[in-house]
Amino acid sequence: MSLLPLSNLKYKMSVFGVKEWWSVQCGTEEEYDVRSMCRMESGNIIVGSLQGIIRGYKPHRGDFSPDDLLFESRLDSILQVEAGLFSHSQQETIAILHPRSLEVSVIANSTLRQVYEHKLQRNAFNFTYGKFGSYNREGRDFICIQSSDGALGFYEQENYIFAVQLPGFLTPGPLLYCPSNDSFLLCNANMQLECYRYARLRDAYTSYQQGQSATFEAEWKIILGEYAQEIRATKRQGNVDVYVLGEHTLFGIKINGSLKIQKKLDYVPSCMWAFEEDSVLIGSFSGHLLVYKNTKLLWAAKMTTIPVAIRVIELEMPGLILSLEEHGKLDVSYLGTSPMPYSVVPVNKTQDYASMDREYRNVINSLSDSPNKLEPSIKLIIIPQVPKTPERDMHTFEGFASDDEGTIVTNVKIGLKYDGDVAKNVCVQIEVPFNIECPDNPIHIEELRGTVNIPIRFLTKPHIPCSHLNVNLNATYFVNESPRVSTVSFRLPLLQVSTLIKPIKTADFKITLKARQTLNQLKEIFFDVALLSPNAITFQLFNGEHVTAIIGKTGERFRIQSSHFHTLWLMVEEICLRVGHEKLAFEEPLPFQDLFQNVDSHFEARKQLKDEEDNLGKLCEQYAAIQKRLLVRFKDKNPAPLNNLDYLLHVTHSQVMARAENVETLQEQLLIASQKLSASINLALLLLRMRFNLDNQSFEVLSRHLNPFVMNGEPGWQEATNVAMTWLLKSVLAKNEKEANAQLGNLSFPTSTEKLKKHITIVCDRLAKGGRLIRE
Amino acid sequence: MDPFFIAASKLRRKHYDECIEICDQLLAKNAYDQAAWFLKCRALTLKCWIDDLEIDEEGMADIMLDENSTAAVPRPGTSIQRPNSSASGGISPAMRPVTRGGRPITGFARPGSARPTSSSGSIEAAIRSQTGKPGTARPVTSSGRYLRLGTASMLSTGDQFIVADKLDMKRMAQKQAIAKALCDYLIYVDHNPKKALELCAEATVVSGFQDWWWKSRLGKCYFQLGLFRDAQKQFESSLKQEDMIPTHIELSKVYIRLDQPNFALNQHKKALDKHQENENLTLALARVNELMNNADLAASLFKAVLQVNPCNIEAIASLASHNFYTDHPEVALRFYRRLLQLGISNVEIWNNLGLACYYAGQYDLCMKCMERALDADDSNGDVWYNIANIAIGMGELNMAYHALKVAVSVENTHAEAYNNLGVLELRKGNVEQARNYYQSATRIADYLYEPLYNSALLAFRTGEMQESYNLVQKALAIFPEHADSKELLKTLKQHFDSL
Repeated sequence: MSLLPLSNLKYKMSVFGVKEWWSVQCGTEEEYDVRSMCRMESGNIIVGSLQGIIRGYKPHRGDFSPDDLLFESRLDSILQVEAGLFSHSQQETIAILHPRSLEVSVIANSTLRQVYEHKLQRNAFNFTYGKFGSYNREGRDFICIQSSDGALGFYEQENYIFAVQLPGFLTPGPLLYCPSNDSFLLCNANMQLECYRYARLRDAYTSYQQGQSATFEAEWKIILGEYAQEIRATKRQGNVDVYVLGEHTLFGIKINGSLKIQKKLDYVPSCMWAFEEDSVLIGSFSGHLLVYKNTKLLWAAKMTTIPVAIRVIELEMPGLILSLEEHGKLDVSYLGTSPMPYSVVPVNKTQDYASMDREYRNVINSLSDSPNKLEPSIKLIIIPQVPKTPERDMHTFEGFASDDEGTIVTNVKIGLKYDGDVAKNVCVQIEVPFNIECPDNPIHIEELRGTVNIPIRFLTKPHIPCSHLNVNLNATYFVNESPRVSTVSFRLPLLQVSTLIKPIKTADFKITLKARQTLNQLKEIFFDVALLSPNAITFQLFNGEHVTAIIGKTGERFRIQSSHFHTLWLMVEEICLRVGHEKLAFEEPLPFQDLFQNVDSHFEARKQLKDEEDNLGKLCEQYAAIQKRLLVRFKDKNPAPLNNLDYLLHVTHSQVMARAENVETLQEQLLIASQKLSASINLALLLLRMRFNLDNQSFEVLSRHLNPFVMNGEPGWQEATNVAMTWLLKSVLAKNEKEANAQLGNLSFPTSTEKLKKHITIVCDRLAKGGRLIRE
Repeated sequence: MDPFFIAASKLRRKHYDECIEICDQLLAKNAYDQAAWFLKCRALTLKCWIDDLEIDEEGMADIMLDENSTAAVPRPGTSIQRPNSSASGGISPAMRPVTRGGRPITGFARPGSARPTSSSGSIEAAIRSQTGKPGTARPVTSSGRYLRLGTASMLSTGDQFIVADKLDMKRMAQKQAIAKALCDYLIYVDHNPKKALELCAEATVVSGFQDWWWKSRLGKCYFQLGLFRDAQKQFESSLKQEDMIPTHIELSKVYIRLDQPNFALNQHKKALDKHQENENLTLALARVNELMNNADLAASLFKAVLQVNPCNIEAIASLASHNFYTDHPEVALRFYRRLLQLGISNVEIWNNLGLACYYAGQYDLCMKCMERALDADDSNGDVWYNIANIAIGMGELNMAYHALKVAVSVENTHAEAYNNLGVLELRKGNVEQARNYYQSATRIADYLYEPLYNSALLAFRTGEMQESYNLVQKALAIFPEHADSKELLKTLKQHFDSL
């Protein structure tokens, strides 16, 4: 059992949706913002769009009826609307802020009648209102307008009182008048909340008028650490007096300037309203409405729109929620318990145990039938046409084996044939020995119908010894969406990796192959090569190694000799292929000494590489340590002297680089060593085969264990082969019970190759004594 | 209409691109318009903003080259590398499966909830942990992660607005409001903590070391640069100035990185004393407790979170999985149903519902839930694995076998599935096949004790006593209280004694 952890999903979080009480769309292609809506004491709702259309509504429960619209008129762009007692009469008035004017109007006879207007010197941003000043006992609302460039202008009804310029101003932010201590709260661009007393501002203005310096300072400032979006005062006394909505956080602040509440919101809030004591309503950009009391989430509901302004109002009943969307959808709603308009999509199949069981049986049946049915008889066929000798290419490929006439290239033509309808996405991978390069690898065909011929070229890297000449072609393709594969392998001509030279009679390594029956003449065996001598032939590889085959006068034996042990392999293989290995016999003792020399040198190369890599690792550690120390020095205010640390860093760096280059060279050497080893193992296998007359199956088993494919990964060849040899000795070649229970070695990096050599020798001994690799 | 007003209004309504466009026009008219520059800077920042309090993903190099742990072999319960074992009240691996990092599975996938434990401190473990699926490219260091988050967003912002290298930080720092906007831009958009650090250092001097915000930003820059001790100093100093919740959380993130979870716990507790019932702090505390395998404590904290916010998905999911793994599947079922009501419908929820139904005995519902899970995503190895488990419970071994086969075919590193396949093969009598499956399971997941124990048992039955002994030792190293392993070890010891 394992439960899956849920991934991060944050915005789905409401069980219920809000219930609509009344709703209207205010105009089309108009925009509204947080200050575009207000509610009058009389229950009328005023909305003014940024485009300048002002509308008044009187909502009634139910659908919108035209009677609900009180008035509609077009003015200049409206930045803010508020309702209050802005005129001398007791009648409730509406203050409308335009960019360059403030208009106070009343509703009369379904129209808007202007009471007075203030022209503004500067671009307005927003305003707040209230009963400023201690002398203001009449209960009239005064207005404070914030301009875009940071001036606060004060107005008492029709009268302009004074204006002050805020210090250190950059951009305007939300503004609020706080009656309890007769001050203004301002959220500035410095992520601060500032409190200015009205009296102080007035005093500053008076002293300015008298020609004195007019500096004034904030009563208090707190750094909120976020840009404020909205600021609201609570209606009743509670733990906090003012709520500020930041970009990601809700702050609750006492009027004395202490931060009481910080609540990080895990959604993006769009608007906020404070009501009752300590209760806040927040709308989010994910279209949710959240009710908090003392930061505890009381209710979350999904709205149908994304609100930009929100209010709690009382119309025919208390606790209605008024929300305005930015394109003018005005909603009055309440928190109902109707489930969210979301349901799980039902699965449209009927399920009972009988049908499930039937379906399951069908699947099982089709599974058990599948293998025979699905394997098609038509396969992609690959036909390689290999030339007997390579060609010369004058003008291509730098750095590959070449002679006077040009680069040596074997041009193989590959025929891809598919008899079925179509094979899609055919990809042919060409697998070559390390010393051969195929620039055309891989081949890709989108769709294959019928036969296609593709030429591919093979080049030789001159400095890497040759391990074998076999090339494998693996084609993968799709028929009816199911993947298929077909493979073919062929051998490159020997002349691709060597040139024919005059026979060399002397050499260090020699072996003799006896013929079981009289052999043909050399020129018949090498019929495709222009012989330079009637009974001897020498090939020279591009790295200078050479190998010679000399046929006995009467055709009863071959002598093969070479400058290097592993190079013998190429000629032996060539001859065996041309003559047939069953016609030849090998009767000399096996050249273990030479084989083991190659094993050892490969092992030595591995060890060197490993040591060098370890050294490189240590140096890198040292480099990092020095870097760290330097970093500590550099970020110190009063750094200690460097004490030649920089020099040390420099030296270490150059050492690292040198070691890295060394590693690269060693990797190259290891590759060469493994090629030599591979060739030697191949030779040993072939000689074993001829010596002990192994049948195909046994030979297969042996070559799987004494693996001629030397891969330079972990575990390495030595340990893997050692285990394989032990396994042979433990299983098929075991002499007694005790041996059968022997421990297999482990695959860790060996300290020496002695054990491996011993085991190989024993395996060969057992084979010589008639041991069989296949159990009857 | 004042274009500045429109730009500000667009910014408030999160129409960043339109806001940037207006600001561009304003800047084209007057390149020195500070207000327009400020708005544009904020719009770009908000556009690329990520909640870095929430993500705390360690890069591969950070995990591998972690030099921050104070003790190489810390006592259990003092380090994230060695959380509480089941004996000391932690979570028993017998009850709760583990993630690819070797940690008990959590109810809610967050970056970092699958940090590897020390027993697997290798490159493979670092690569495997967290997402664990092969082929998921992950950044090498955590600052690489920030950069990566940046490159995708950079594409849409187009040309370079601010060239950080050409700025004179000393001059910029003089104007505090602009400097703050610039600082956030450098951190969130430019992902250049080095330059931001320079600015913060200058600005905090200008503010007379009195502004907590600059100090916490300094801390954030140090944190992103990997200089945790400096970050810690800055955050502590910032907290002295103003007790802000994000600073608390960032400070404890530093402690977590320094591998001092107990300090992080204390920090959270101290903060919670001051900010009673704060959701963010409680949640952060619960996460640290979960990281330390204090499952019961974490659960009670998640409950406290739900008291404050009944819609917190992380808390609900964590409580659900806690209840499930403490043998109360019926309670877990209620939690998952609540999540379903909240409008979540995905593979994970249906899979979990299905399992909870099964273990709560509501067999008629469980298959339907599983089917829905498959409808949502039929290439999820875990779902198939769970289906196989249900099938085993119902006695449909053939179906279980096929489901497991599908599981490993869609997710070829699903070690638990390999292990179970091994068990099924053994039942069929295919010993070699079973051994192979166990071995693949062990190779893929060196943090699982089941395949090791199973191989040990198999080796014991086939008479390879030494092999069995080695394997059972390994199993016990992973899960020291595993009773069956102990039993096997005892039998083996008796066997060796009698020889």
